[in-house]
Amino acid sequence: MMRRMILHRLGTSVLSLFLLVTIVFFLIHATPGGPAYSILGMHATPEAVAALNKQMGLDHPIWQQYGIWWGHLFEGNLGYSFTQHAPVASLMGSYLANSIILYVLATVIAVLFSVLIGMFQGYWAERTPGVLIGAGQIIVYSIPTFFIGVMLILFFAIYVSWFPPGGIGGDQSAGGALNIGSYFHHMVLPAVTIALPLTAGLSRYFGHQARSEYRLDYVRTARARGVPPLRIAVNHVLRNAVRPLVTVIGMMIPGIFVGGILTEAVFNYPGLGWLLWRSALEQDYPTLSAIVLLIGVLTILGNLAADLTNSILDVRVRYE
Amino acid sequence: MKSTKFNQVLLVLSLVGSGAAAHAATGPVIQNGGTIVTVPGVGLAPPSAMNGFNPLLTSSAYDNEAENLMYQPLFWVNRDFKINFKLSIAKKIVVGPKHRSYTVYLSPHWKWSDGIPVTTADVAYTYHMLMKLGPLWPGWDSGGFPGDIQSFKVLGPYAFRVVTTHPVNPTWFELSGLSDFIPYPAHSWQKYTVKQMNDNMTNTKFFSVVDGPFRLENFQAGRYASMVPNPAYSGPDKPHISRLIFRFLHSYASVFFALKSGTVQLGNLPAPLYPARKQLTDDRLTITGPNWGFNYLGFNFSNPNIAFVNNVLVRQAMMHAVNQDLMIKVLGFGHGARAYGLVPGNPPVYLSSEAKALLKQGAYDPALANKLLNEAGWHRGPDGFREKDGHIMAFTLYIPPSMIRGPTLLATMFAKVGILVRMREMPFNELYAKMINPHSKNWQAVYLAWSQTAYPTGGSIFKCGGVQNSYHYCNKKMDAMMDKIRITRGLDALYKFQNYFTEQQPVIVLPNMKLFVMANKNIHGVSQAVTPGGSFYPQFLWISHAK
Repeated sequence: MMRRMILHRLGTSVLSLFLLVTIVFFLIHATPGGPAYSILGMHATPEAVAALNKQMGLDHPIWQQYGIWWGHLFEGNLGYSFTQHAPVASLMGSYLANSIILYVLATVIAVLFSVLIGMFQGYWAERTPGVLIGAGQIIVYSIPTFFIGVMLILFFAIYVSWFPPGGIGGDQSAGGALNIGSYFHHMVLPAVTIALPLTAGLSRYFGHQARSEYRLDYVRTARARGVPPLRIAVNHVLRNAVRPLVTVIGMMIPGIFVGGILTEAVFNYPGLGWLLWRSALEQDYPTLSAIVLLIGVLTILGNLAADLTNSILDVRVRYE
Repeated sequence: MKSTKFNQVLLVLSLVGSGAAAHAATGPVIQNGGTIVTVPGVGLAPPSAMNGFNPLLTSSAYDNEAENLMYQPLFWVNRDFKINFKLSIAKKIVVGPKHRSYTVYLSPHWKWSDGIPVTTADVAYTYHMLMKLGPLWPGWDSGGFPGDIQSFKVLGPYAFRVVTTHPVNPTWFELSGLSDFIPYPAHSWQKYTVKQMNDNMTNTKFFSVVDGPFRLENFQAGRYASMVPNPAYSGPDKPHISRLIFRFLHSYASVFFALKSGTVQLGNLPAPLYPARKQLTDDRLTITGPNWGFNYLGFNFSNPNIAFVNNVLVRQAMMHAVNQDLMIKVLGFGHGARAYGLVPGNPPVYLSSEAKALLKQGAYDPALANKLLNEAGWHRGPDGFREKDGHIMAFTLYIPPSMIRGPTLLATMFAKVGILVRMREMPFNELYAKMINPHSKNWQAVYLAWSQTAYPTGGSIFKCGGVQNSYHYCNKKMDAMMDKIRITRGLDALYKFQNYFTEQQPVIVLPNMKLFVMANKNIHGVSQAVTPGGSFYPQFLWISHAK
């Protein structure tokens, strides 16, 4: 049954991906302009644009370009970025690695703090501390990500100089040799920027779950038996409340990418979000299409992984 | 007695001498070594990234900044737009009596970093590559290239001759056309096709053979490019620093934060953040520019909905309606310069006496603007905006992203004389695509800027049918004047053209703001390194250990 479920989900996912990429492909080509204008800038003349478009294969009819792109994709060729002068695959490789590490770090921070805060909120539900935590969650969740980033830079990078204001680090001395400590040092503020609104949302959800668990009979029974509160929290409430969190995290993957785009722009962090933003601005069609495809794939796989994990963790969950 | 007096004189002289030496010892002494981290576009443009280093294939000002450090120009043009032959690959130009023949002699002391001499083979390679690239090369059809060139001939390893199809203005041709014949390493590049060169745009090994003061050491896409001095550099202006790193930052805020934290030691302070300059306590401000170009409000003369711009009285009225001093005060915090023509004023080497007088006096005169609009038949309607034959004097102004302040000021100034301006912000690519589409009659007005060449004629920007004339402006008299500049020696033709241009205002020229460059207090030579022409010469930078 599980195998059938996976196959069914993959089948519908492929269709979703196809539709997603097709819509994005035609939408970005519909916008006036093109990468030739980014490359030529103010030196763009109709002749130069035409010559460059011919060189890039953009003088073909749109349907033909679409077919060529899919043809290359099936050969494992994601295309060539004329604005960045590199094959899209190798370009994405380095940016993707930076993003994955950042987003994983942000997610780990968010999950840890969400669980902690959620447990407190669940324990003190309908009492002052719980209400205050709830208000805090709404406030933090409402603050735009880029504003959080700028404020963190202002305080932690400028006023107290604990962290660098941006970039990726480890490359200033010479020769591009990566300094791991510097690499992660540069990642702290961007990770916290992504993690904060995530934490606000996740902890609120987890707090509700925890509150529901605290209201159940088994918890009342454990209290009556004199089980210490900490043991109730860790051994009983936490273990039951955390299961649905897996699904929620999977559903939040698109949100993490969106938050990541803004965060990477604020921090000049060379990740996939930054590359997506630049590609959109410069109308770098191959790179844009490839990134959209990748985000779609990661989202689908993330959701699928979340559902599978949930069904393993919770024997009551079975998919048909 | 005499010997005592003589000894006293000697003593005084020695004391004066030691005092003088002590004084000299406390002045700045150039020190070698150190790394400077900066951003692309310092002294020139908002921050961005470098994406390629092949000067034959790139047109971005940011890429050019690095390329200019790797490849020595045929003619090194100084701040007064004179050729400095000590820093040029060329040592001499001999112009034929009819101004058609240009024989350029190369200085034999220039060598590539692999020891091979720089010769006319490299110039010939460049020439043939530019002809092959055609319109793909950004300098195509400007400076007389290729239209005015009849022949190119190598006379020997250190001499070549270009013959033009007709007599040309030597200064114009040398600065705008011949200057494009920058020698590139033929022995290293000629085995590659254009496609292979495109594939190696950021490959440091491809750019290992250079003749400029710096060479490319490392490049990480989206992150940085680092350059180190070329140890085989043959020029007199050898770099003092050990390494120059261009960090790729993409917003004004990130540059400010980087300057504040010390991550970047040299960078532009964006104009909107000028009031915050005192927060950069470790940095020193250098005000440079305005840059060699002009800002403008340009119209689509082929759009029937704004046919009123075809009337020169209306354009003159617009010029007089703009309070340039106010714009400088608001946008540049008082640091800028008036401009009414396409010939920049810093330095004023090409300005006519009339242009200088106008710059001094200013043209802001709303009463005159109102009078001219009345004369043109446009009178105030019930809502204050001018009307004629049932049409309102109004236009939609396209503006690139985050350039809202200047257009907003313009809109209020124009509203005072009865012209309605609507604004629409759009991405640069989209704006430019709409503008240069030869069949496009839809766009009405744009708020943009042009940079000028070393001999500022405007090229084909305002020529009838010119490749860069997206405005569809056509004035045969102006065309004739532009043609005369290209063929007549001296500056008289340029003076007449610029005076006529100012009178006609084919675009409404706007003031030029200065640029604020912040540098760490222990970095020196910034004024030499950053020029109004937009060039960046980090070989003049040096770092002292005491601030």
